[in-house]
Amino acid sequence: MIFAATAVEHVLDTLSWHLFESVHLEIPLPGIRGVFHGDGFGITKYTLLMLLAGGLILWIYLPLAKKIQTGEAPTGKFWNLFESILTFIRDEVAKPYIGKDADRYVPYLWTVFLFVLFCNLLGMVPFLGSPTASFSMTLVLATGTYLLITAGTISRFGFKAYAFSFAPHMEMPLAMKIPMILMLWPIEFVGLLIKCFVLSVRLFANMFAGHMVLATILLFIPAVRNTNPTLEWSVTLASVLGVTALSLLELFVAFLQAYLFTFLTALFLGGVLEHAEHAVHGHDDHGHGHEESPDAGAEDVHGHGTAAH
Amino acid sequence: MQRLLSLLPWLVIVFLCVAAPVFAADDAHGSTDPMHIRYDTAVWSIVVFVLLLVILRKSAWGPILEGLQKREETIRSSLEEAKKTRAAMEKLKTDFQKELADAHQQIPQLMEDARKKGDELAAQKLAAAAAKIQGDQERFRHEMEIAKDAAIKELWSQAAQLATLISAKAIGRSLTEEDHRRLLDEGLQEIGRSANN
Repeated sequence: MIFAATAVEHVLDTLSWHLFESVHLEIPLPGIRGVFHGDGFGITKYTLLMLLAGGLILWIYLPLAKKIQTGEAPTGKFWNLFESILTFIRDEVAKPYIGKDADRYVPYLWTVFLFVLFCNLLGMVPFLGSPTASFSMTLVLATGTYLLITAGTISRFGFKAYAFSFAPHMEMPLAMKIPMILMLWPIEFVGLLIKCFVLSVRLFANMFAGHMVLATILLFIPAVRNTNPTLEWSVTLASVLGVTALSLLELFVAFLQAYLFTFLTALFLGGVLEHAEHAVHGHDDHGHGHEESPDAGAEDVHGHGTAAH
Repeated sequence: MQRLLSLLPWLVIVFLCVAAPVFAADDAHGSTDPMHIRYDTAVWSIVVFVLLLVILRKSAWGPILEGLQKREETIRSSLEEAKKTRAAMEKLKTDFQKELADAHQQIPQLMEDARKKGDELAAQKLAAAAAKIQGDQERFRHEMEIAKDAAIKELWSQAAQLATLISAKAIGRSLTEEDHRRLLDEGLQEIGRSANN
């Protein structure tokens, strides 16, 4: 009934697809085994799931794009549902936190949100899994966010403005300002790296922990069968009910984490863009971004924030 | 760029096949550390995500953004048009209400004027009718006077002829025409005097 012998093995990415552990049913996947410290290299289970997630996104949004392109009002549940996701990200995430240039970065935010969401949701399907429960995968996505912030800011305002965006604005004499900036600049620069790194850890940890909990609760069943068979049915019932309840929570977490990843990407990007624009036009010009003030307690955008999420 | 991206997975596979012995390790079970980086998962994540981003950006997000911007423009222009129409309607309504109020204020004056004109017209009609009636009465009276005089004259003429005839028969001779006329005139004058008395 369980896909792997231990909860950790259930969540880890492998070169084989476990189906029914009790009857040793698993599908070996193509790859070179034994390399990279025993990990091997090939088409892993999560690779196939990522392809499935990408395929689903393309299957939904490529035909929908033709309808939306007409500029007509949306009709039908399908169109309304999937378009509302895009308009939510654009109107409630990108525009408030990136500002007037939001449409330049909206394609990335749409892609990352849908990709993370679909990868998260695949974990709710029996015999599948969440590729976002792999740190390798979330680290790649967070690297993409860091590259977007860096490349996007440099292409928009130039390298000099990007570099100066890490120098906090301070009203103090020059003799004090220079050493302060020299001390704070590396902290701000590394701060962005840390924030992006933590972005990957947050997504990975939430998805990994959720699936670990579900797998652990289900693993109570074979554990009890081997130690105290009289309790098997009662433990089975409790485990199934518990997993069902926690799966509902996981469903919520799947949406929440996708939203958080996208929201924080927009927040970090908007912060760096704003500082870079200030570096170019001076601190008196507040024309860029932040049409609506973000939640003050959520993130210190203006100072780049040293608190990593 | 896209061709390069599509070749990327194959380049990675070829590289790994060639370099596999180099990376081969004694431990063939892999790590169970959750934070352990799997290179294949990372590489395929890059490939899948980049390909997805490129395909969606070209074939879906571009047209969708275009459509959303078009729709926003339509909604914005419709709103502006609606605002203009509403302002025009408000102005029309205000003008109409003003005219209505003016009309309400003018109604008593108009009714007074109409009543006066009606009275004047009625008075004129009455005066004209009275004048016509008076004229007709005068004319009828005059005609009656003429008719009465003519009838009296005719009566006296007939009476004179009758008296002449009777007197002729009484005195046994005939009077001449000249006698008749003289007698008649005398008689008439006598009658006239007696009538006046």
